Amino acid sequence: MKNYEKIFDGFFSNMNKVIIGQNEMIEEILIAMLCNANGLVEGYPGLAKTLTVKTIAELMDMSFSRIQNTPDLMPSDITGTYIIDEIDGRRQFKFQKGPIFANILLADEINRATPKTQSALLEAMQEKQVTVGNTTFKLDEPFFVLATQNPIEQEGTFPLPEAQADRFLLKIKVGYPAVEDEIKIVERFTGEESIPKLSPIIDKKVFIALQNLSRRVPIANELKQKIVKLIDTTRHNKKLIEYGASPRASIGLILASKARAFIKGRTHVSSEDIVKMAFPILRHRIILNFEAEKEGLSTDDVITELLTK
Amino acid sequence: MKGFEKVVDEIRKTVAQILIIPSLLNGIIVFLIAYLILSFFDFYQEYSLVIAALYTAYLIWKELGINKLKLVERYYPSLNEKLRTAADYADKEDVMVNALHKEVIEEVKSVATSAFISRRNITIKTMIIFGICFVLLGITYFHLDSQQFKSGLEDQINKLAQKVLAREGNSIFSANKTNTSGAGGGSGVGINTDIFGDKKLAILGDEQLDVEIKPSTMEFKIGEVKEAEKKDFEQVFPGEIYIKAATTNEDKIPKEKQELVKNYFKKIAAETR
Repeated sequence: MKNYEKIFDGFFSNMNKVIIGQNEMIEEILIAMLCNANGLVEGYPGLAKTLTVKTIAELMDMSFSRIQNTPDLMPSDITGTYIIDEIDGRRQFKFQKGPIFANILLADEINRATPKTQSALLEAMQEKQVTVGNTTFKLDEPFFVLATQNPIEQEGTFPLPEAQADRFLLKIKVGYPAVEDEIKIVERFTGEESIPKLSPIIDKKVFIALQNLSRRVPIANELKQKIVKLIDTTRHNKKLIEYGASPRASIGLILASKARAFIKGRTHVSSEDIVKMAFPILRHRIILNFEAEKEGLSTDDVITELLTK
Repeated sequence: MKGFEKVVDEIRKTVAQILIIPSLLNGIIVFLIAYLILSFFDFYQEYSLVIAALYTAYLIWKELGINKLKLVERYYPSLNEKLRTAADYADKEDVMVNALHKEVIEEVKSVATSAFISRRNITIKTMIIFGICFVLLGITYFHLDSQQFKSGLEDQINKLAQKVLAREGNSIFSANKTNTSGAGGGSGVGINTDIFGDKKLAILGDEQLDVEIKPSTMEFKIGEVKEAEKKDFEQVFPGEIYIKAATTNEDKIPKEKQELVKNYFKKIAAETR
């Protein structure tokens, strides 16, 4: 266990060389990756969402690509398309891989893409493969989509439908940094020192091994029941919730709790892991009713209430 | 990890054994209290054993229902959730599970059984047991029972009542006090105005009985109830004069000689006259 701890300690210390603060976001992105799942990062512009994902890709020695979503973005712009190529004087169709063929895909401002493009991306996220024409292309392992979205400027956007948002394991909220952190950010990015160039510390093989190990972290039966009961409560609390979470949330919460325990160097899942992970797991999976909205409650407030019961 | 199931079993057994001690002490306290109450009211004291046994059985049953691992975790927060998780995976073999088992075994080594026993609690309970035992000894030594307690209490109440009434009687019923010795003394109650004469004496047959008429309750108290005397009847007849058996030879004398015998006795009788 101590070897794994060293890996994660190295990862976080390297991340902190570039990103100041936002440890929770970094940790949650890493959790989503350890669960071999995708993460939706939501926050105001300028909060180092993109920089974080880029830095993670750098540290992990994985191929990284970025899509800036716009309303005119086509599915083929993501998946790739057939182009006519001339080989030995003969013209033939050749598949030109799109940016989706990477290990880490950053889909910036996903809610700006049209539902058609979003669907193409979400299908790849779920199936880990892309079908173009009659050919299916298997995506390289590991494959993660880290999408970002802006909670403001909703005009001209296509908010992700709940069913599609459910494909993201975590909805990671990024807040403003603390004043002390912001002073450090300002100093780092306005001074003479340039941002250090990071070298990879985790390769694909190691990362896949870490993914397998994180799934093996034991969880007590009592805690499993606690998780299932919590998810079930979201379906029956009609006082504040219109639609509750699906069993995917139960699976996700167990996996995310395991991954968090693993990152923290523990050999078992604790209640603290469940409480911490309940927020990013349930945030986009429960739909509040009019009563809750009238009272000005956010999904996080409702989750807090569910956890305290 | 192999053998971890045994570790879990041992933890459960040890904790269960420790938990039984306070239950047994509670059972002893209940037994003593029940015995004290039942013996005071002179009611089947053996029932105290039944009550204590039932109570102890209930406590032990309740203690057995407690999640022992959770209890250990409560006393050792570093084992919180870890021990239960390890127990749930006791029969599994895995890199992570083995690491967890190893960690738990290391930490369980520092678990002291004395941590589960509250010294203060045990001391208090032992003191209570001693206290009740001394009370029981006192009751046995002084032959105290509810009747005595009741009569003693009544005596005290009566004495108090008499004092109060005496004070009141002196002032209010002073007129009656002079008249009560004569016939038609009228109504009124006073300590010295007993209308039944000498309160101490009443003769029934040859026995003198102590009869007291209580002015407050009008109850008779027979202070002395003697055991029935055992008396031997005098023998009416002297020991040597009595018939052991009566027989007649009449049947054995032949009929023709009966007349002869008759005459012989008649002759003897006539001679003796």
